[in-house]
Amino acid sequence: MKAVYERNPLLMGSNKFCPGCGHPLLNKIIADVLAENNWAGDAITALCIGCALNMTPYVDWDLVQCPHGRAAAVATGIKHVQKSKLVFTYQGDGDAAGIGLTETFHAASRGEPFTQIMVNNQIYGMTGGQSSCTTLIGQKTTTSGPSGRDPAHTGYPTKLAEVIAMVDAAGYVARVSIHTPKHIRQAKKAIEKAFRLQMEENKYTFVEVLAMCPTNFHVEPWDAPAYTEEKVLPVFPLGEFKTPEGR
Amino acid sequence: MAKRELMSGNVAMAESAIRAGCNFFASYPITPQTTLLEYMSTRMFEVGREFIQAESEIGAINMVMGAAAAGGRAFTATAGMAVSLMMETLSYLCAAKLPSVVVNIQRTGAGAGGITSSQTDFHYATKSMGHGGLHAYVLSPGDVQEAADLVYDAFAFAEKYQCLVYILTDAMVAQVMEPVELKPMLENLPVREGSAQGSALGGTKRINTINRTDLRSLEGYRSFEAMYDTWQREEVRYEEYRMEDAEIVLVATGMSARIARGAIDTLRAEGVKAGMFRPITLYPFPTQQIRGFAQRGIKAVLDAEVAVPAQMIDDVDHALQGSLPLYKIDCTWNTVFTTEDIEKKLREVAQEV
Repeated sequence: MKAVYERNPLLMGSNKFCPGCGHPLLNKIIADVLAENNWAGDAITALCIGCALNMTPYVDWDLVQCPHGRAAAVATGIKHVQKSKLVFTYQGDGDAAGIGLTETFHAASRGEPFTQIMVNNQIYGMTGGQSSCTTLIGQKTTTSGPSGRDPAHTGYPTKLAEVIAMVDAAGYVARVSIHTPKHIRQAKKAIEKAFRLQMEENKYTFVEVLAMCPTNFHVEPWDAPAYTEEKVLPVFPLGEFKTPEGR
Repeated sequence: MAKRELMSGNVAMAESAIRAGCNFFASYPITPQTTLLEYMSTRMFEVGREFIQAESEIGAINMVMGAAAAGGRAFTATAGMAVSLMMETLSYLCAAKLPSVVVNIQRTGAGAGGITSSQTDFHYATKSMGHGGLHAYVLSPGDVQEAADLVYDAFAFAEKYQCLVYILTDAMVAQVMEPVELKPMLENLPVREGSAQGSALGGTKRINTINRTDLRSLEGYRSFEAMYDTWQREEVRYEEYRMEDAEIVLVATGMSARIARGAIDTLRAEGVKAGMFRPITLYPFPTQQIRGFAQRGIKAVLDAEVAVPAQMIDDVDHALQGSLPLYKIDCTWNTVFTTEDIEKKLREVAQEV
């Protein structure tokens, strides 16, 4: 009998993420992109500190665990030594846009030929739901105060994709979401495009992925897609913010 | 015999790193390291190696971490306060057992400090490499030739023990120019096994990840402890200068030892049996060697260092365990002691014992 669907061998066993979390879904999208393009044997991930590090036991490609926020600098070192390999960071918003903004920005400015994947769930998940620089206005966190994020105190959500798109050396910048099947397909295309531009044209590429964190959104997992649609997308618009000319 | 060339400590260390196979250098400008960075900025391209002027010392040391994780022979150099910026990742390099070489050219004082030469990072370099209590192999060169040799050997040592080698030198050794004979250029070095080079499905390499229980466990930390014990037994390095029949021994490193050497000769000419013991490894410290002083007929020890409060004296004191009287001469900032100051202090000690 012909198999019509099989488990991706790059994903081993079960994972420890919360129900409805965006990480395992995004892990699978990346694993599928690697497998379908025969890139798995060339992949090296610079992994952040945060919920993302729960992927380490169950994804089966090379991983380097980085100090918090420094994945773009670590990936720079990796890529300079392994120039033909597919190097990408996998970071949360707190890691890439908060503590690691300097490393992110300057890797983009130098045009380092690797891909940064920033998983934006508007929260510090691993430590239990503290405010991030991407937390929505009015969103309640364990550090926002009872009325939620107030611009008078903590300003507005950081929109990193738009910032990186202004950098001359950035080759491809996109923001995608994974809250519906349609968005999952778009996200997969964007990641594949980012990887391909890295491998074939030596471009620095950046993909911000809006991910659901029902635990810290304080919604049921099945309500998280609607939350994303109603509250997150108006603040973080989707799309390709920078592409190589004509593509 | 190779040609002897006149070069500064900074340039000698840079060229030695290249000859030892360094294929990745990332760094950020800071006095008094800058001429090392400038030399690498052209020389690394000449030999087809990777050079990056990073956005910060934090960026530089994390690039070193990435390069080391991917199998590169990674190197950085910095000074004084900028080591503080690197400390978190220095801890990671130790914990992940990533071979790498770091040079710290000490400059004076806390906070912004000053740019004069000093020895104020001794405790910082030897007691714990950042958070967590692990150690680098810490070396202190006494002159330009030794700085070149220690950096050259550092790369092989780092690979042998899968550790961080930390050259703790000072602005005097880094900036003075002396004739140097450099070691040969190593070619076609193999890429280290176990590094992340892309090897999915079964051969996957996980560097420093949460499931590395071989390192992240009691057993892992016992293995670090055992490595440090091995260093203490087998890898301690030091120089003894006119110590054969010495009764008064000066303990000093780096710039202090340079200043003190002439004082030993003067006191010898005056008939005082003075000698100098110069630790080359600061971690592991030559504890057993200093502990044996009393059995060698030595009557007093003088610690000399450019740090106030003095730092290395704590390790000398720990080694002596009260077996001999311990004196000190120290200084900092704009008042570095002279050879004559040390001669005077040695005469005082000679009269007391």
